[in-house]
Amino acid sequence: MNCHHHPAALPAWLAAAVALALLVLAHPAHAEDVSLLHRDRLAFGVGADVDWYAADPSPPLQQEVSAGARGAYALTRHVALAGFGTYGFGNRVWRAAPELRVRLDTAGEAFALSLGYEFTGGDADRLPEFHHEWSVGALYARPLWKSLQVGLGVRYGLDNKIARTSLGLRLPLAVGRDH
Amino acid sequence: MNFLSNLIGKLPSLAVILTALRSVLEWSIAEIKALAEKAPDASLKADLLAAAAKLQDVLDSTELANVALQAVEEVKQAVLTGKAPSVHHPTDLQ
Repeated sequence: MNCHHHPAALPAWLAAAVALALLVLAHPAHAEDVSLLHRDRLAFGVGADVDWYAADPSPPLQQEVSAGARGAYALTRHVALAGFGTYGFGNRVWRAAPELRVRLDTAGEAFALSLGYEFTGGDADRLPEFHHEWSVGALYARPLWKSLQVGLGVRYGLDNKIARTSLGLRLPLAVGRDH
Repeated sequence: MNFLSNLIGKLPSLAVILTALRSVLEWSIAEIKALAEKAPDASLKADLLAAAAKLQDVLDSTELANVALQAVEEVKQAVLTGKAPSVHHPTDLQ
């Protein structure tokens, strides 16, 4: 009887092994996942913006040109940690913030929502009441020419209640490989 | 800090409510479309399809929240496995 069982059991075992191998190979997304600590997750660049400020009553900050460095660390497909440090030449005010971003791809365009904590310093006459505050924002970006990008962002400070709209250009300097 | 901790604390409840809402909407749209197919006259069929389209708009408007919850799930999986896709996005330098 055993002699009859073995030939039948062997193909079943092989079929199961092949099925398992195919199942593993059929998940390339997992195979491409990389460690959360990986240098390819980093992106770094510089940029310049025109900033407009809006609040009621009018904020102490005037429309200005600002420039600075910006970076991001891709955590997952939809989530990134980001940060920037900029200096506004009109108000002589610097600004820096770490942010958590949720990326959205809608109608072929790239958007993101941000939650950040902004620090501000500089010319005391132009500084808003709170020098650090939570801010929320909506961001948009698209490639413009070669590696140059154009971007539009609106951020709102939850304590100062000032909205800042920024339109600017970005030059990526180092962007890790996608996995 | 309270703002952030409150937000994170409410996310699981929001996820349950949103998933239930989207399921009900999807089921309702499918049922209305099925009724429209069996409608005895063209006028009723048009009304039912218009109602289904309005519900579809509501469903689409929940997409943003759905992406946010998807993002939370991605982070959870990334923390559990220590791995995740590494993809850059045009908004990274904004």
